[in-house]
Amino acid sequence: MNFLEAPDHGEIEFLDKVYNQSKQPSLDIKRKVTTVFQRPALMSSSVVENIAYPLKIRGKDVNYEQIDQLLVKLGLEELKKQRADKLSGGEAQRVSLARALIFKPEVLLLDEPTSNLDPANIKIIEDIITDYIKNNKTTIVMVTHNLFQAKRLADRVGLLHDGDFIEVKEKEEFFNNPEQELTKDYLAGRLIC
Amino acid sequence: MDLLIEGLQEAISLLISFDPRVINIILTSLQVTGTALFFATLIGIPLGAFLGLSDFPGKSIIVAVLYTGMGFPPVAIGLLVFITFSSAGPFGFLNWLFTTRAMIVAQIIISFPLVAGFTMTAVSSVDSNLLLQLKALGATKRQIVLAILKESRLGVLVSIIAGFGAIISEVGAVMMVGGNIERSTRVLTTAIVLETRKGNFGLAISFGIILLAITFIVNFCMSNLPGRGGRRD
Repeated sequence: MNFLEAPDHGEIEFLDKVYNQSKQPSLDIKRKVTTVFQRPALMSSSVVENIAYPLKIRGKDVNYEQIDQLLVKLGLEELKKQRADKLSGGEAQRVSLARALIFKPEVLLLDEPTSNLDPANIKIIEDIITDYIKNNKTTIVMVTHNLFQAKRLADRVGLLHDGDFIEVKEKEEFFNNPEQELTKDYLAGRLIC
Repeated sequence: MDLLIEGLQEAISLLISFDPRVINIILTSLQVTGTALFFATLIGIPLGAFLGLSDFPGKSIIVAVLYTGMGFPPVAIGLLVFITFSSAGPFGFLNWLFTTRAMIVAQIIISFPLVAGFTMTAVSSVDSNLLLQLKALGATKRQIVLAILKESRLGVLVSIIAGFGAIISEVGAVMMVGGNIERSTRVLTTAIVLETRKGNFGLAISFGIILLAITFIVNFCMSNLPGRGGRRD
């Protein structure tokens, strides 16, 4: 889905085009999708340089004022010149998110971005995501094990089990009228396996 | 002890007097080692980065060959280069034997496995999640390689220093393929051997001190390059 690996079966439809085993997306298409992983991986350069990196590799001018504004929103303005690989887990994940948002991707995949974070950092990240959705046309697909987080952030929710979507619905429908037994069990707090 | 002090005094006086013989030996040493290191770096860093970042069938064999090359006796490489450039050898027509060119070739063969091997180790030690993240951010293969080399710059620098150390102090191969010809292929190490054999210990020690000083200065400069990366806590 994030175009990091060639599909071994199935199709991905993206921007009116279909990609599969025989047809791979171009670099330009790949660059419209990005992922923020559960464990942030930052370069040892400064926080600002890490955030500017996606713009630089695309040959775009770096608007450092825009980066400064993003850093203020993320509460990182005082750390902007610090080496990014020396940040705490929460700070690093905020930088990782800023680096993904700076180039305004069409699709942003968030792979459990708050799973190892404390509530304060979770709130900052959720606020940024909420604010970003309001002002941009980016589609965000977020993986979470936290039902409350899904309720707070999502428009549509799906239950993924063993690599298959069990049920995908609008948020209210998903939580209030689940159809599948597995979804009902999961929402009721029963362990599913 | 007196011999060492005399050697030091002689080294200083040789340098101050700009003895043309000594200057020629120093310049030949720097030219041969510098050129060899340049080409070893040019081959070794991309090869090391490629081996460190990719996985393919037969990689373990190439890595084993590279590690063997890192410990290959210089005199054996000298012999190989000697045969290759001798009149009966495959490249005898070039007439490179007993020239600085053959010495450079021998030193490239000695140093490039060190540069490539240490670069490979440095690049391999970078967090694999960073590779995936750079790809996810839209970096091309070339951009990923450059970013990873930048991340592992301290290790890459060590690889160059190791390559330099191996060839600036090497004597067997350069003696064999260069012939230690005055004002032509005589370098500091071969000059030390010659002067020691002649019993000119003072001159031999002074060459040794000059060699040590050059090695120290070059290593000091390389290890203090700006932006070489600091210690990771």
